[in-house]
Amino acid sequence: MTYDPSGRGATRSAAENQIKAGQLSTSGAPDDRLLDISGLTVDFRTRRGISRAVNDVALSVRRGEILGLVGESGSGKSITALSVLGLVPAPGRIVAGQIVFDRRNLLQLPEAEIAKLRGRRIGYISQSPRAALNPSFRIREQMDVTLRACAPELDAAGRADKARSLLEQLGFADPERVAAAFPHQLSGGMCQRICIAMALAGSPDLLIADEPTTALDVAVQAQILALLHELNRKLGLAILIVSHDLALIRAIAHRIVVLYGGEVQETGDVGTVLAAPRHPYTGALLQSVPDPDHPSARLAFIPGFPEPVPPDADGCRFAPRCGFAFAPCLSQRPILRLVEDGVRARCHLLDPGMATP
Amino acid sequence: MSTPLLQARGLQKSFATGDGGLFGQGRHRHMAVDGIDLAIEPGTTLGCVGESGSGKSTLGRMLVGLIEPDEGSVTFDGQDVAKVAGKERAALRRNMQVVFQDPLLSLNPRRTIGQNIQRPLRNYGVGGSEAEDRMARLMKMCGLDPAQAARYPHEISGGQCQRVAIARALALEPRFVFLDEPVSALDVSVQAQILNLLLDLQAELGLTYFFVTHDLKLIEFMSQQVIVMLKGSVVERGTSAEIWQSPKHAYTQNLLRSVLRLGSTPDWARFAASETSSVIP
Repeated sequence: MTYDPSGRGATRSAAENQIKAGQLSTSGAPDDRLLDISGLTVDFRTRRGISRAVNDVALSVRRGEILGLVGESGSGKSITALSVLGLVPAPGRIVAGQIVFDRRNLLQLPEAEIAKLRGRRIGYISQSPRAALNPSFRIREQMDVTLRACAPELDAAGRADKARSLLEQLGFADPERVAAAFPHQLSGGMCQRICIAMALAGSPDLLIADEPTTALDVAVQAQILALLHELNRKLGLAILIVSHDLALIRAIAHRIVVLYGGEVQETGDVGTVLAAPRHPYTGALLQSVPDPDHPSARLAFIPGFPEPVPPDADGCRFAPRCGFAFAPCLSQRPILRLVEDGVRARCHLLDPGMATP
Repeated sequence: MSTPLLQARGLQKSFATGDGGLFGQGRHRHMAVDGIDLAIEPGTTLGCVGESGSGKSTLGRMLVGLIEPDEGSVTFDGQDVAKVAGKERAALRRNMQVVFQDPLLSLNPRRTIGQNIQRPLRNYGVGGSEAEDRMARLMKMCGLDPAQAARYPHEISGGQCQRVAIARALALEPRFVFLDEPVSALDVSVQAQILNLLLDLQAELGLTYFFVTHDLKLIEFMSQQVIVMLKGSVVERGTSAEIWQSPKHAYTQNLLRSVLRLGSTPDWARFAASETSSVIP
């Protein structure tokens, strides 16, 4: 275990033992961590060997917080999010680590228990709202199915009422008409709002949003983000939002986790990290987006492209593409080092003991 | 002001929607592009922004002749595209190429990337070692290693695939390229590589681009002139600086307000109220 996001390493191991026993932590220390992932490692076994999608990832989402998880394709961001739901697609397998949700280690719970959390305590919205909805059923019918699972105490009339109020809450002026529609009759933004309504059906504590606006137009994106922002502010809904868009994360998240090659490269308060990135990858990512407020003739770019990582790879995952790499970067894996208040980065350049070139 | 390389007048295109029912009573026509004039000067880029369904791709496809317009005309280098036929049309066509959004879909998955790049050359009667040589040159120009020519599209990354698609588009030495969201399917760090490559190639070969995107930040970076499309019409046009700094039309202003910027906190109340032209049943 290398990284403790709260910096409370001393109290951690005792709590860990209790969690391992599947018990509540009763040590009395106020713990605002709703979701606490540590040492998460996910392997994909393929014909070409084992590929490690997520390597020793640690992150936590506090109650009422929006955590932004940033990375490119293959960085492990979606797999990390799916791990929380117990939905890592085959042939992927969680080989190490723990995922503590509300003080229970999800990896040690039986599937039936996780199924109870999914939808009720943890909501999920995906990148493609249209694919998430069934094209052959009216919105009303689909919401009813969700509510049956999430709110078994309600009868048919209660579910219809609940569906209507959820749609109203999501800003639909005419919920009856929307409920009677089929997904293809609605725009992408409307479909995503319906998916959010369904994710909220069980009044979850945590919403996992995997690139919720990637498929949407810019004005619709703004609308959906404003909605998530409001849900967070008004209901105290904690959100784990996954995106490759730094400006989006900057706008909505409180803290940021930057993933590359399946590892956490930098994490901290979103404003602090993006104002002065400590990891070369975060810095390069920031510069590779055109900024019309500061026009330039060319974009800085990261050479090469992300490559799959074998599980036994040494060194820094970003080293092959890093402009600052020096000898140790290829041979030693840097640790996630505390660089300033709440900001941690995994880079040898930040190690005062390392002879820099 | 020089003569435009490409000019369009009164372009119009509608598509039939709905199955029409038994007696065709449900049939409607959707006006995808409704009377657009434009001119692109040689060596420059005309950017086109708009939301999905605004008609920007249909417009681009009409410019390169992939779709016949219902009304209006496209003039390329003084020639009316609709009026040339046969060999002249083939000669005209080689000057107009397209790079599509998803490189994995636009490349032939059963052919190696080398064969993909050589295909247009062979269509125009260039074969054998000459085609091989040109392919190698094109690959180098687009930042690819010619040693990779024997690989298949699924074996290389999305960014590499898009380089292959660009190399293929440039194989016939076109003067005009329609770039249809060429980087929206790519990772952020790879987007920058491809955008830089497109700008380098433009400077080197004097290419003229029609660049379609829904990302306003890219428009500013890539183009000199910009048109903003909404429901098949151009609602605003100007230089990219004009559009970015002082948009006139309410729709453009709303689009710009919706752009997330690293340097500023969003105005959530405004975001929530942002108007969209969502279709309600």
